[in-house]
Amino acid sequence: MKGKKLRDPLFWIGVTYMALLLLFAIFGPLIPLPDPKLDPVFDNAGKPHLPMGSPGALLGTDEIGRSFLQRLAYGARISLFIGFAVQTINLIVGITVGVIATFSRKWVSNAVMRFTDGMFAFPDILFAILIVGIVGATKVGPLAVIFALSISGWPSIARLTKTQLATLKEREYVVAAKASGASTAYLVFKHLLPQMSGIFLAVSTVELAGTIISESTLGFLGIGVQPPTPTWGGMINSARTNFNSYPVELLWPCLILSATVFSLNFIGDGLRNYFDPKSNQG
Amino acid sequence: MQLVRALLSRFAFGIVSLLFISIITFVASDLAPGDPATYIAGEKASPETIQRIRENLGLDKPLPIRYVNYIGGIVKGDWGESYSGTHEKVSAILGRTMPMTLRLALLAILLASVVGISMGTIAAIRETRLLDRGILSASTFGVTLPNFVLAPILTFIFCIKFDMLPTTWETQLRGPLWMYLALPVTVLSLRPMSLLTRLTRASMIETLRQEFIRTATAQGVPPFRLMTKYALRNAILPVVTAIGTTFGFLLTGSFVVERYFSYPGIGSTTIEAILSNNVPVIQACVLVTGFIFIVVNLIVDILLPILDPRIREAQV
Repeated sequence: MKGKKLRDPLFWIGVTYMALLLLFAIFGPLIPLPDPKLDPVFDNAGKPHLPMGSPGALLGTDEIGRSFLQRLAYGARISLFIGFAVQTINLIVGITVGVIATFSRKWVSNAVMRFTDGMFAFPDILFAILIVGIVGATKVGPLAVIFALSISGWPSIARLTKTQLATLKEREYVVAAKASGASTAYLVFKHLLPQMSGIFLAVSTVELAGTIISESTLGFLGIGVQPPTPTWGGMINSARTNFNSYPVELLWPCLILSATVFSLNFIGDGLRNYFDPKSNQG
Repeated sequence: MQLVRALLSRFAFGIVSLLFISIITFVASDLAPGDPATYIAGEKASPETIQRIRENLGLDKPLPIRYVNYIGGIVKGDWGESYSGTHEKVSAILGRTMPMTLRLALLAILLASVVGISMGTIAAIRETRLLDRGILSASTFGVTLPNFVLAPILTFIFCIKFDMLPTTWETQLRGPLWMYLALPVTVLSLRPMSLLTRLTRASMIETLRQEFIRTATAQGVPPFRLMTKYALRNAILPVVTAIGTTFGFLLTGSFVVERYFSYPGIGSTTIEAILSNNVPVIQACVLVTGFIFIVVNLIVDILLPILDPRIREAQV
C-alpha cells in the first residue's frame, strides 16, 4: 500500500470542493448580513427579489429579501453537521454490532444479524416519518433528524464489519496473535479494526452523501429541520412554489446539493480503489 | 423438502417483520403528542365527554390490549377514522390512494427494468468502448442525482420551456392520462433505472467471459440469440433480485415525487397526515408501506429459486 498514490483527478476535484464547502459552512454565516433565520426587515418590500450580483446579496434574495448566499451557507452547516453526526453514530453502533455478531455465540450472532438484515432492508424514510410523527412535525430540529437517520443507517456498517472481520480473523498474523494469548478485545482494537479503517473511511464517505440526500429529502418534504432554519431541501421546496416566475431560486440549492453529493461519491470511490483495489465495482 | 423449509423460514421472517413494524408504529403513535379523544370531541368539549369517548374507543385500556384491538380491527378492515376534514374512514383513504401509488411505482419499475436491462446489456457488449463509457457515466449520474433535483429540471424543460406537459396533477384532468404520468414516472424511475443498468452491465460482463459463451460462439450461434438466450438469461438473476429490492425504495421515492407533482397517492397523503398530526392516517400509511415492502421482498425470495436451478440445488 505504501508508495501508491491517489492519482484519480475526480478524487481531488471532490476533495477541493468539500474543503471549499467546509470553509463556506464555517465562514459563510459570518458574512455581515441580517440573520437568515429571522424574517427580514422589509426594506426592499417593493422589489423583494434582488437579482444576482446585487450588493450585499451576491446570488440575489428570495421573495422576502433573504440572501441566498447566506442561506446556502447555513444550509451547508446543517447538512454537514447532521451528516457527520449520523455517520459517527453509525460507525460506533455498526462496528459494535458487527463485532458482537462475529465474536458471540452462534444464536446471539444469528439473532443480531437477522435483526440487522431486517433493518437494512427497510426504507429509511419510514423510520424518519415515525420519529417525526412522535416529535410532531413543527418541533423537528437537527437532533430529531440525526436520530431518525441513524436508526436506519447503522446496519450497513454492521454488515460490512461482519464480512470484513470474517476474512481478517483468519489471517495468519491474527491467528498468531491469538495463539500467543491475545484477548478478543486486544485482537479487535489492536489488530482488526485498524486494518479496516481505510474501508470504513471509504464507505462512510459514500454514506455521508446518502445521509445528506436523506436530510434534504426530509427538508424538501417539510418534515426535516423546520423553517425558519434554512436547509437545502427546504430551500428547494420553497423555490418550487416560485418556480414559474423565478426558476433561478431553484438553481442554487439544487446545484450545491448535487455538487456535494457527487464530490462525496468521487472521494469515496477514490478511497475505496486506494484501500481495496480488488473490489472493482461495476 | 429443504427448499420448502427455507421458504417457510423466509415466510416466518416476513410475518415477524410485519408484527415488528406494526408494534413500532403503534407505540410510536401512542407516544405522539395529542390525545385522540380530545381530537374527536373538539378542544371545547367537557372532560366528561372526552372521558366517555376515551372509554368508547377503549383508550383507557393498557397499551398491549389496545394493540391487540388495533390489529383485530385492521384484520376486519377497520382502520379507524381520519382526524381531519370529513372524518373519512382510513380504509377508504387507503383504497383511494394505494392504487394511485401502485400504478406510479409499477410503471416506474417497468420503465426502469426495460431501459436498465437493455442499456446494461448494450454497455456490456461494447465494454470499454465509447458507448459503454457513456452509459456508465450516465448511470453514475442517475444513481447520485436526488429526484427532487431532477424533477425541477425536467419540469423546466418540458413544462415551461416547451410547454408540452402539465406541471402538476389536477383533480379534473385536462388531457390524456399519460401526459400527467410521464414526468412523475420518469423521475421516479431514474434511480432504479441507473442501478439496474449498472447491475446488468456488471453481471453480463461476467457471464460473457464464461466458457459456455465461447463454446456457443464457436458453434456458430447467431449473435442476437447468443446475447438474449444464452447470456442474458444467465445474467438476469441478480437483476431480478434488485428489481424487487428497488421496488421498496421506489415507495420511498414516491414520497418526493408525489409531493412534487401533487400526485394523490399514499406518499403525499402520508406527508399531509404528518404535517397535520393525523395519527390514524400516519399509522395506516406507514403500516401499509412497510407491508408492501416486506411482501415484495418475500416474493423475490420465493421467485429466485424458481427462476434459478442453481439456487434450488444449493438449498437442497
